[in-house]
Formats: sequence, C-alpha cells, structure tokens
Amino acid sequence: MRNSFVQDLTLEAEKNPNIVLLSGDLGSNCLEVFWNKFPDRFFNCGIAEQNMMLVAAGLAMEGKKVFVYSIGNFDSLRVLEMIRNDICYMNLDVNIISVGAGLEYGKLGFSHHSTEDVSALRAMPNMSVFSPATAKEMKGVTKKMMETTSPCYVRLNKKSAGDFGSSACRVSEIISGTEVAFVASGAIVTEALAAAEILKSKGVSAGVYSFPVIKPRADKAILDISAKYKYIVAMEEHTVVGGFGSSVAEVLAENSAKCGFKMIGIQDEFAPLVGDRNHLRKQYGMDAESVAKAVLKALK
Amino acid sequence: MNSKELAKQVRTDALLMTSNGPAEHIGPILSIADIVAVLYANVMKHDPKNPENPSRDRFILSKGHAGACIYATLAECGYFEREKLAGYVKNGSTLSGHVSHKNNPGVEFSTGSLGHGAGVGAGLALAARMDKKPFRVFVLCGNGEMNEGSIWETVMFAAQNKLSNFKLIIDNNRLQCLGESKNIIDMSNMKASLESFGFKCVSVNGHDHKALEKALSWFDKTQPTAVICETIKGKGVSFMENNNIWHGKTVSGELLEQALREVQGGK
Repeated sequence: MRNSFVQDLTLEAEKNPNIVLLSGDLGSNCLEVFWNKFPDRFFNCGIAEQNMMLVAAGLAMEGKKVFVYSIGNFDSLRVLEMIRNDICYMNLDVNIISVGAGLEYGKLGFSHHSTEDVSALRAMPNMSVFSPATAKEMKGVTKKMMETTSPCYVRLNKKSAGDFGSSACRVSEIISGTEVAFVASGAIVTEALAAAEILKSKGVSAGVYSFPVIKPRADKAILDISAKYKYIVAMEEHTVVGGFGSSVAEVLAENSAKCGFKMIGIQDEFAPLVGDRNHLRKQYGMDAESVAKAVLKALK
Repeated sequence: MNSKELAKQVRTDALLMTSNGPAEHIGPILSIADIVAVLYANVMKHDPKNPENPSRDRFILSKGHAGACIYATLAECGYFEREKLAGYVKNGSTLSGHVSHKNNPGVEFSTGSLGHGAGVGAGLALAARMDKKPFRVFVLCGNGEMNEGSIWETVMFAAQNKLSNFKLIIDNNRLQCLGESKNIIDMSNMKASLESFGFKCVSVNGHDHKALEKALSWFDKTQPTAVICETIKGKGVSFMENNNIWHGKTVSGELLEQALREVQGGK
C-alpha cells in the first residue's frame, strides 16, 4: 500500500512538474522509484524534521505541491507547531505522509506508536486528515490530494488491510447489517469485520463502514448510519481522546442521535509491554473477540 | 526616501504604535530598524505597487515580535496607508503584535514563534533555484532566536544544498528576554559556528547604513551567506539602549516625548 502510493505519486509527478517529495531520511525500499525518476524533485532533508516542514512551507509558498514523507510521530507530533503556524495558518499545499499508522510499528516500542496524531492534526484549521485502510482507499486519497491545494495529513500503513473500501475517498459500506454498526477508520477495519462475523454467529446483525476520511467529517454518512442502527461502535487504532471516535461522537451528540454509542481504541494510556500489532490490539481490547464481547455486553 | 530617513520614520512610527497599542518589544524593534530600512531602501528588489511581483526579493522577519518595524516600513514604502498603523494590536485590526501576512500587503510570511523563518526562507530559496528564478531570500533572526535548534537544522540544510540565494541576517544585540545572552546561552562564537557548517559569514555594525548595504548586498557564488549585525537593543533612544527592560515595557508620557525627540535627531 505504501509502495503503491509512491508509484502513484511518481505517475502524478510525470503530469505535474510542481510535485516535490521531501523525506526525513526515511523510506528505503520505497521512495527510490520517485527519487530515481525525479532526482531534481526529491530532497532528503536529513534527520531534521523541523527544518523539513519549514522547507516544505517555503516550497509551497512558491507554488510547489509538496509531499513530506516520514514515519510515526516524526512528521506529526514532533513538528506540530510548524504544521500549525507555517502550513495550516498559511494554508499551503503540503501533504504529510506518516507511515506506520497506529500500532503498525508495534514492536519498535511506544516512541513509534502513532496513537495521538489524529487528535492533534484534526484540530488544525485548514487541515484534512485521512486514514485509509486499504490500497484501494489510498488511491482515492491520492486523487483527493491531487485535487486540493490545502494541507493534508495521511496516516499510511505499509500493508493494505485487504481489498475493500472505496477508491472515491469516501465512507463505504463493507457489510450491511441491522442492529449494530461498526464505523472504523484505518487498518482496524479488519477487526470490525471479524467482530461482525462473531456477532453474526451470536445472532446479532452488524454492519461495517470504513472511513478513509476523518476530516472533513462525514456528518451525513454518520447520521444516516445512526438512523439505521440501534448501536454504533467507533473503532480506531488511536487514543479515544479526540480521535476518529470522538469526531463521530461530536456528530451524534450535536444531532441528538438516538442510537447507543461505544468507542473502541486506546483508553488514554501507553503500552506497558512489548508487542506486535495483533498483540497490542488484544492488550488494548481492540481485537475482534474483545470488541464482540464488549458489544454483546453493551447490548444486554 | 533614503534609508536613513526611512529608519528615522520607522522608529518614530514604532514608538507611537507600541505606545498607543499598548504593546511590547520596542527594544527589539529599534534594534533592527536600520537593517530593515537598508534592506527596503537600498538592497531588495521590491514593488509596493505590485507586492506579489514574482521577481521580487523575499524577506521574512523570523523574530516576529518586532513586527511593528515591518508594518511601519511597509506603510512608509507605500504598501498600505500609514493611517492603518494606528490600528496596531487594536481589536479588529489586521496588525497583530507578531507579524502576520493576512490582509497586510507586503508581509511575505507570518511568524511569531521563534526558529521558523529561516527554514521557510530556505524553502523559498530552493524553489527559486529549481525554477531558475533570480530572486533572493533574506531572513532576519534575533541572536536569542539562534538558541532554537530548528535554525541550525536549516543552517545545515542550506549549506548542504548550496543555497547561494539565501541570506541569514542576525540582529546581534547580545540580549534576550531575561538578560545577557552570554549568561543564558553563550553564542559569542556564532560566526565561527555558521562558517563551520558551510556558510560564508561577515560581521558588520548593524547601525552603519553604508556597511549594512555592502554586507546585505553581498552574495557568494556557491554558498549561503550570513550577516551578523552588531546592534544595540533600543538603538536611538538613550534610556532604552542596552536596557533590556524595554523588551517588554511600553513607553508613554514624557518618556515617549523624549524618545520621539531623540529618534528625530534632537536631544
């Protein structure tokens, strides 16, 4: 998914001479396709992310369409003020690609868990926030970034979570149900799908909806889902404080939605032990079995 | 208006603006008034009638707290009406204490948090080189601001990428918010530091217009350049010079009258 994005970006760069790619000395076995094709439009800014963001802003001021590539929190939380002041206030065409969404780099430890970025980034005026689950969804996000000239942030996984989703950069119904709706953003959609299967075996009909776009909020889609189901479960590989689930809660509360609501995510804590993505999901109660159990309990 | 007249008028405007605000930072503003006046009167290619002219030189005030100096300079140069200056920091005005581009023609970039302007300037310079455009980029930082690690990231980047169209100007008044820089973060070796990273660097009296014009007009063929301007915080007002209290204090009453007389050349 990461590599197919870089290939798509390279194809777009053939059409658009203003596309420039910056890296904070990361992206081996991935960025070479762009770098080899457009050596004059690729800059390794070194391990100096603050400057990289500032250079991105300067380039965008001169009409460049800038893509910034790094991993984890290095091009989000570490440089948050640069994003706020120099990119969002100036409303510039800077597209931030953060690889290793959520817990993808689980075993590397807490420093590489990208689990508060959505809360911070969606609070920034002018910023769009994307969290595609699959390569198909990322295609839609790439297309959207090509069409827009305001700042974008993408939490990107190395691997596609499957072959589902919409390439039109919008909410898609993966499974239709009648009682419980899982609304999920990013790779965690797979746990929602598995949880829906478990619920089905227990006689509960669950739908699953994938949200590749977190901001702007898909208010209408959320309200349509809330009208159809009795209970909504928001899922994200991210803290529940201010992230995707919170954005869904905002819509439900502002519109006095009548459905029940639960947020699955990291409950305001850091991982105490080492673990890969699947292990950490279990630890945080975000795996399909834990989620199904929690939903059944809530429905009682 | 020549640079000396411009500096005199900017100092006058800034005293009135900060007093009327009321607003802080008259010391840092007076420190850079000569640098900015020489840039706008004698060095930079710019066009008040067409602020967006693509071939203009770019200027970023990275020490955004001295924004009143830029607003006054732009007004005196004709970017907007001088009357607008009276709204400085007033409710509903566009002239915030730290410099903002929004609805203020001629302001290239908004700053306020230190350590941002240099990197943005490096991006502008890189874009100019990519597009084979002739414009030059001037970024003015404070000596205290040079504490910021982000600036040294930019210094490394600009030298590595040989951004010869990029000039870093340092307002070296040797003071910062809470005192003398040598007692806070001693950067008295700044010239050697910049040179060690690959910048070509000169020091100059930051209030000598001829020397400033020469230094600010100087660019190297291959490397980025830095001009360390030796300045006096509060320059032009006897009781403000080298007195750090005027970093945050606002002048009024008889002291304001005295300050205005002094910057106009009286006693």
